[in-house]
Amino acid sequence: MCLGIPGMVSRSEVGDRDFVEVEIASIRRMVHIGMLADSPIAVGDWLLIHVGFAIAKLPESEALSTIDFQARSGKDYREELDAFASLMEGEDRI
Amino acid sequence: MKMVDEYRNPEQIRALSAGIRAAVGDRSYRFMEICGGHTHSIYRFGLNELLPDNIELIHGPGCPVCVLPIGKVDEALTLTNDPRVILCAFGDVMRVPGSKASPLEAKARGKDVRMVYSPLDALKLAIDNPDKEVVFFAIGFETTAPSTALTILRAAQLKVTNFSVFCNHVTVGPPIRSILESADLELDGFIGPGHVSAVIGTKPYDFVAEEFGRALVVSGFEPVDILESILLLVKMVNRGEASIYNQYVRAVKRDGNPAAVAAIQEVFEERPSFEWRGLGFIEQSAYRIQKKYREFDAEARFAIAEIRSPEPENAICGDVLIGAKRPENCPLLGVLCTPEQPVGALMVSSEGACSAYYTYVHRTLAAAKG
Ligand code: SF4
Repeated sequence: MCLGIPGMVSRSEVGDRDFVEVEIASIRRMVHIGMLADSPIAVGDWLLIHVGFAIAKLPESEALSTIDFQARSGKDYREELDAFASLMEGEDRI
Repeated sequence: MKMVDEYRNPEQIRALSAGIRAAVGDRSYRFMEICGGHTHSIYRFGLNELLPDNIELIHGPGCPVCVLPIGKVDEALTLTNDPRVILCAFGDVMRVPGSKASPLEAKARGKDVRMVYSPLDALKLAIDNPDKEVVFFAIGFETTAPSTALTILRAAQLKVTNFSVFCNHVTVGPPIRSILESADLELDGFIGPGHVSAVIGTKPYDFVAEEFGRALVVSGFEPVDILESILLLVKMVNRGEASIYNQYVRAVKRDGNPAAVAAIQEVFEERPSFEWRGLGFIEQSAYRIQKKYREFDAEARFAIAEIRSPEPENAICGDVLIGAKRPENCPLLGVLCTPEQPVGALMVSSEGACSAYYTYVHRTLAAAKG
């Protein structure tokens, strides 16, 4: 649960300014962006996602190198991705 | 020995390892990595093997499931005796042993306990189940606390009346102070946490240098980051310098994330005292929910009685947590305590020192012995 995983913004106009849609490893899910309230967020931006919230904006090079690092880091990172994909049925945004 | 070529950037790794060997003097160096994410990387990538023998890395108390006293798991599980309650917890928390059961075992015995990825999933569950009381069992350092705070603010905004939080959020500064005050460990410096610092910045560590004369380097999680941080620490110790340095500038700013800190301050206040596994009670080391959000506070809603539960027999979790002992010193490791059947919380989370040691060192040693 302590991991932050990078995800790319796939949709920013979602009718609720607290959320954007983010894609991680082909999985899409809404994430809360209340902690990034001061920075504009656009499709294609990279965010560091922790328990469904964006905690920082990342340069693309940093996001890609983190993804590569996490892929080498064992099963815990895969479990985090599984968790990210969970509860996807139906409405995925509160 | 790990092959250096296994790393993504072997040249840099080789250069840093050589740089550290060239920089160390005749003395010994004892550095504590506070964050469990660093502990995991150190074991996973065999970083100890790239360091000279006179540098010792000591694992600190920065894994939130590891520092949670057993009694807190027991307290959370008492809530499930109420048939209206759905208890929600992160995946790691589900496997933490309480004195009678882990949340996962309680679920297997018919209690309504659910794993969630995000506190927002728990809130959604509350909205979808208006006849139930959904309680989110919140743990975590400052990385996670803003997420819980923002979820409570959202619940307030949506006027959800059947959602509450059993708040066990803790803060990273007080245990560092407590470890420095106990003085037994004779630490020379710290590898500071990465993601926590993305929220709080580096200012809250200033006391480490100013009051205790120790160096701290906030570090990223990749092998290159950790080795670079160690090299910085060695150089500072050699110069007799105590400073706070930010190696992880890609994600951490000196002032942290003001919106995240504001969310924490809006919803939480400091508890006068909170019990930590291994460290005992530490003043002002945890958050509770402010009175103005009382309706979302499970402690107010359910009058949760305090439970003090003893550590399992022969387990040394507390000593491992504060770096006084190492995982390999525990008589239960690999015998009674494994990631599949954990006795202590340090064997549960991948960030726990025992789990990381067991997965990347103990099993390899056992296989080599045949
Ligand atoms: S091996 Fe298990 S019981 Fe022993 S210290 Fe580690 S977590 Fe605790």
